[in-house]
Amino acid sequence: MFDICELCEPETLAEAKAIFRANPELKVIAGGTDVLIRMQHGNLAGAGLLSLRNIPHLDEVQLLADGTISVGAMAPFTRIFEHELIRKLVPVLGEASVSMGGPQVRNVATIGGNLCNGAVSADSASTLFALDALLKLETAEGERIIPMRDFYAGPGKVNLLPGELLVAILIPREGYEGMGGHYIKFAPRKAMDIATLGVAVVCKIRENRFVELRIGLGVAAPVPVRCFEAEDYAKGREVTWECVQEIARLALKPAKARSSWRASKDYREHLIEVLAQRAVAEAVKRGGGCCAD
Amino acid sequence: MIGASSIRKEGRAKVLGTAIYTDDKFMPGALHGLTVRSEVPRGILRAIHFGEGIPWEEFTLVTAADIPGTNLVASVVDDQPFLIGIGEEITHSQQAVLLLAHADRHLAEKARRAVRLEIEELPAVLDIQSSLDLQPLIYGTNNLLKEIRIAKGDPDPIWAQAAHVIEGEYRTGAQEQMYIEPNAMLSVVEPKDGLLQVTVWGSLQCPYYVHGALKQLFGLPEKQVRVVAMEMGGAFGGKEDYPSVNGGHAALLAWKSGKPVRLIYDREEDLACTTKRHPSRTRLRTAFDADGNLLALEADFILDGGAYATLSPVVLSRGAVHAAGVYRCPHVRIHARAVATNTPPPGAFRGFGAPQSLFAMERHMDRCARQLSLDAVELRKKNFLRMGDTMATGQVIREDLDLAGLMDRALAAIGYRDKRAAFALTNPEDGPIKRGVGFSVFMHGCGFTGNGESHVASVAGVEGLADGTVAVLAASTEMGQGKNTVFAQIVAEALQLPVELVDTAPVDTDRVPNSGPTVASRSTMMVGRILEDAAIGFKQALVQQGFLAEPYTPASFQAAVAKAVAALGSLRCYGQYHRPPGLQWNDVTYQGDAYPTYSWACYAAEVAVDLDTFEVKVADFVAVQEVGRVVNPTLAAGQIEGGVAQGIGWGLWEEVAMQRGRMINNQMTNYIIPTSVDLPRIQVIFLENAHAGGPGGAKGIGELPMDGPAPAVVNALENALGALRLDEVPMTPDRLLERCEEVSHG
Repeated sequence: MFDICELCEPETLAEAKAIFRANPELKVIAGGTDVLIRMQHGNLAGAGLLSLRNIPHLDEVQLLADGTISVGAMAPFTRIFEHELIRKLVPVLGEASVSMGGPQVRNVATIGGNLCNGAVSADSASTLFALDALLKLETAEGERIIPMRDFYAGPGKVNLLPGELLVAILIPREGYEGMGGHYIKFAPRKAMDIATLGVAVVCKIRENRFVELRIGLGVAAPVPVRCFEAEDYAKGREVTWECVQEIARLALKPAKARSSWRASKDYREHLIEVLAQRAVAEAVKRGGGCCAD
Repeated sequence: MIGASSIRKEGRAKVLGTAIYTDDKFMPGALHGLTVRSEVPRGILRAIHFGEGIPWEEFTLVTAADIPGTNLVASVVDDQPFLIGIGEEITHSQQAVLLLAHADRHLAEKARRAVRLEIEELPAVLDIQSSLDLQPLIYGTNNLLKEIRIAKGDPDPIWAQAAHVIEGEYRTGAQEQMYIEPNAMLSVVEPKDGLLQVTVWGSLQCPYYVHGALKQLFGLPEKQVRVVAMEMGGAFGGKEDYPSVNGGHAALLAWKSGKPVRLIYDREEDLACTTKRHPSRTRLRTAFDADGNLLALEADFILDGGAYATLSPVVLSRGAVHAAGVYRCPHVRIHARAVATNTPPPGAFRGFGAPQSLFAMERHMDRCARQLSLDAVELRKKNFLRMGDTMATGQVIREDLDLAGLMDRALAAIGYRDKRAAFALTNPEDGPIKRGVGFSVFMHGCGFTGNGESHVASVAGVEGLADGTVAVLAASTEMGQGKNTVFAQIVAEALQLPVELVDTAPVDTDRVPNSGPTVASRSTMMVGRILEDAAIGFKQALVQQGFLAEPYTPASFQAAVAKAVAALGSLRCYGQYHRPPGLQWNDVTYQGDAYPTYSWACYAAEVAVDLDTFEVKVADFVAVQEVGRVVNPTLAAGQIEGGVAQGIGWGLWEEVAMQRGRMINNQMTNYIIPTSVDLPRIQVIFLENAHAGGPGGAKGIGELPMDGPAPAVVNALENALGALRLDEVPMTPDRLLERCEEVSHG
C-alpha cells in the first residue's frame, strides 16, 4: 500500500536513539495519522520509518515530584483527555485533545506527533503555548529542555536536531496550578475538521483581578503564537467586560492573518477578536472570576 | 412486500465486509493504471517528454494515437475525446493526455510525475460571464453547449401593467457527490474465439452507457463488449457519465498491455477531475397584481457546463422545466443556457439542474413576499398549482394536488407560526444568537424529461432459477439507494411470494437487458413498473405451460419454477416500457408533458445564527413529501435524510474552490461535507397519494430531497437576520459576514 523501504521498531528508547543517530534520514512515525497521509500523497516516497510504538512508558501521563505534569510524547489524544490527572489538573488540555479529529484518529494520533508535524492548526499546540509547557528532547548524546515557543520554526517546521526525538511534554506547576482555562476550536464543522482558528486561554484570578493571563493562538500566524501584549495588559486589572474586550483587541496584535480560499483576512481577524473574548470570559469563570458588566 | 421495510438485500455482505467492490476483485497479474493530465486550463499540446530514471520500456503507454476506434466519448453530444493528441487543443486542467500502467504502483506513480507536458498556453474562460461575453470564444460559434426556450403566453405586455415587478439574481456553486468509494475500473481485453473481447468491471451507475462508449472507442459490435457493475460505494450521479471516460481509459490500457489493468482513483484525483454539480446563475423577474397574484415570470437560467457538453443539455433541460416552480402563472418565459468554460466538465448529480433553478425560485418567492408586504405562506397559497392548472410547458396537472395542505403539514410539524412569533420577540434582544424559521415548496419530475423514456425503451425481466427462486434481470445498479430490495419487493408483490424468494441477478450486460441508466429517480417508478409486467407474464407462462396451478403457495410456486427450469433449460420473461396514453412532448417547442408525474414537497428549517462567528446551525428540519406510494418506508426515509444532509451541505458548507480552472480543496479534509454532529434531527413525513404510473402507485424519490433544503435554510436565515443579500449558496460564515457588513455600511 505505502512506498516504504524499511521499518525500524526499536524496543527501548536507547535503541531508538542509537538507530536514529546512525540513520538521521529516517522519518519518525508515531500514530501515523500525519505521516501516512503524506506518504499517500506520494511525498516521502521510499522513506525508511522509525516507529516509536514498541517503546514502553513513552505514552504515560505522570505527576512528577516537583508538581510538573509529564505527558509522554506517544500518548494518544484519547488517553490524554480520559486521564484522571489531566481532568483534574489541566482540563483545558483535555478540551483541546478531544477537539481533534474523530474517535478513530484520537485513538492513534499522539500529542508528540501532533507537535512534531509542525502544523499551525495543531489543537494541542496553542494550549501548550498557553500552559507555558516545555519539551524534553533527547538524542543519543543527551537531552535538552526547551520552551514550546522555541520549538516552532515556520509552517510545518520544528527545531529538532538530526537524530533528536521528542520524548515528553512537561507542564510545570506554575503553568497550570490554580488556573482556569478554556480552549475554543473554531472549524466549519463540529467533528473531523481542522481548526480555522484555535484559542487557548488560562488565567489565575484573585479577588476578581487577573493575577496572570496567558493566551495561545493557533492558525493566527505561520506558527502558534502567544499574546504577550494582551497578557501584560491584563495583569493586576479587575475583571470587567470592558477589560475582556480590550484583552481581545490586544490579542489581535501578534496575529498575521491572511486571506485564503478558506477564509478572508477580515473574517479571520474578526474571529480572533470575538473568540478571544469568549475564551477569556469562560476561562475567567472557570478560574473563579466574574466579568458580568 | 410493497409498503414493508424489507431488509436491504446486500446489507449483510456490506456489513460483514464480504461485498466485492471493484478494487477487491482478485485478478492475478493486474497492472496499475494511472492518468497523466494537462494541468493548464487551455492550450495546444506540443509534446510529451518522458523523464530520466524511469524504465519506460517496462511501461504500457497509451496516447491518442493508439486509439483503435473513435476518440470521442459517446454521450448526448459526442464532443469529448478520451485523450488529447499532439497538436490538439487542451480545454480543461484535468484533460487526460497519456495513460500508463505498470505492475508496481509506486513506480507507476514515480513515472507519472516524471512525465512533462509541453503545452502552448491559450487564454482560458473560467466563469459564466466571460463565456457569455465570448472572452474568448472557446466552443462552437457562441460558447453555448445548449440553449432552451420555454414560452407560455406573453409576459412582455404585463410588466408595464402589473402592480409590482420584482427582480432577483441567484447563484449556486459546484458540489461534489462525495461517494465513499472513489471511481474505480478494472478491465481485461483479450481474444475469445478469434474475436477481441473487451470486459470492464467497475463502480458505475449505467452499464449500457459504458457499453456504448466502449463499442465506439474500439469500433466493436455489441457482442464483443461486456460491462459488469460491481458493488458500489455510492454514486449520486457521479458515476453516471464519468465511467464512460475512465472505463474507456482502463480498457485502452488492458488492450495495449494484454493484461488486466486496474484504474482506481484516489480521493484527490477523483475530486479534481470527475464531474460535479453545475454552478448556476439565475435571474428572475416576476409580475404580481395588487393582491399578490402571480401574473408573469421570466427566468434567465444559466449553467456553467465546463469544457464539453457531457450531460449539460439534459441537466439544463430539467433545470429549465423546474424553473417556474410550483406556481400557476399565465405568462412564462424561460431562457436557459449551458455555457462552455475551460473547467473540468460537470455532470450528473442528484437533482440534475432542478436544485439550482428551484433555489432561485424559492428564494425569490420569499423576496417577493417581503417586497409585497405579504406573508410568505399566504403568497404561496394564492399561487400554488392545483388540479387542472397548466405548468410552463403547457402540461396540465391531472392529479389531485393539494400543495397548501402539504405546506400546512410541514409548517405545523416544525411549529412555524409559534417560532416566528417567539423569534420576533427574542431576536432584537442582546446576544449573538439569532433564530429563524423558513421553508421551501417544490416538486421533482419523475423519470426522464420529455421523450427520454421513449428513446431508451427500457427492457427488464424476471428469470426462474434452478432452485425455484426468482431473479430480477435489470441493468439498474445498486448504489446504496436500495434498488436490489425494492425490485425484489415489487416482483414478490406481483407474484404473491415472500421477498426472500426473489433476488437480483448480477448486473452484467451479458446477462441483463438494458433497463436504462440508474438515474433520474426512475428505477422504482419506471423499471419497477416494467418488472411488475414481467413478473405477471412470468407467472402466466408457468400457468399456461402447466407447471403452476392457481391458487398456489410460495412452496408450490417454488417447486413449479424448479420443475419448469429443469424441463425447459431456462425460463425468462421480459417487459418493456410503453408510453402511457395521453402523454405528449415536443422536443423542439418544449411543450407538453415534461414528466409523467411529479413528487411534491415542502421542507422547513429552523436555524440559529451566531453573529459573533457567523456560523449557522440548522436546529430543526421537517421534510414533508407526497411521493405516491412508499415501497419501503425505511429505505425511503433513508433516501430523504441523506438528501436533506446533502442539501444542507450544499447550502452552508460545500464549496469547490477553483484556482486557474483547478479544484484546490480536493480532499475530504478541506472540502467540507457535514457529519452527523453538524446536522439536526430530520423529521420525515410521507403523504401517500396513489399514482397509476409506478408499481403499486410509487413515484420517484431519489432526487427530490436535494431540491428543498438549501432554499429552506436560506429563507430561515433571512427570517433570523432580516433583509440581506442572501442570494447565493453555499452561505459560508465568510460570505455571511460580508452580507451583514453590506447592510451596516449602508
